[in-house]
Amino acid sequence: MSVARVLVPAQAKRGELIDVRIAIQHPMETGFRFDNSGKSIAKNTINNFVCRYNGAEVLRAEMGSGIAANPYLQFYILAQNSGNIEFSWVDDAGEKGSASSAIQVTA
Amino acid sequence: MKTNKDCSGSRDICAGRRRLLKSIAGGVLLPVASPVLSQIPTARPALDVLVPILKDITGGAPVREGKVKLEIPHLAENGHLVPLSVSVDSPMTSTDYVRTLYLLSEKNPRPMIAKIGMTPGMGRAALTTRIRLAGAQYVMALAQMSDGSFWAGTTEVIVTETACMDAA
Repeated sequence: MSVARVLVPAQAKRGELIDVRIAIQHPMETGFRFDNSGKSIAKNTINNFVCRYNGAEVLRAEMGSGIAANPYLQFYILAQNSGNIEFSWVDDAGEKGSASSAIQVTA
Repeated sequence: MKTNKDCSGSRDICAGRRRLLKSIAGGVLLPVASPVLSQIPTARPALDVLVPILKDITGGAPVREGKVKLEIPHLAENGHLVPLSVSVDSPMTSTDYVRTLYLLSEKNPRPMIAKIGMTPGMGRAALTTRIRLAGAQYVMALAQMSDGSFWAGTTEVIVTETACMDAA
């Protein structure tokens, strides 16, 4: 199970930009490294990351080996209605992870 | 003059030092194509020369420069973790928004750093992340707008300690 730290404000005004930050604990293995016995370590990056706001997709990211280990993303979401901001991701090894954060939107 | 004051004691030592300095200066300046001179920045190559996979992404469509602002510290000490901020000049309305943002590298073994799908729900076309860079190079951000047009922004980064040493 992949672990992530999410930073989303608990409250926002409608029409305001919500500052969303997420850092996922993941090695983002490049596929160019070798282990102690000389065997190549398979590439393993988060190739599919999706952020949804009340079910609607807001941002999707395909991250390759060029993204640093423990990928960090910061972006904005336009506050519309109260609900959940959900994150889900899958890596090359098929391991899935998810996180979510509730937000209260006032008029 | 400072040099006269410094070697006021002995003319011989002073002359010897002058000869030595001349020979050093000659040794440095004579080879015209020295590695030091070759590092002087020149004009940036064309976008498709910089990142050859650009043609595969755009399918031959023209790429204009502008609208995309890419911010990376000019000197990155560690190529394993380089902060990157990108913003695109777009109203992000349902009729005019950034559809896809590509982060591309000139010298990484895999030039595609990330492909990011954006929607009007973001409100602002901006993203911050941390990337890996294999050596000093140009980094490009390519944005495809909702009308299909491509816009690019580039920035040059000097990396003192490169990432992916095994692949270099």
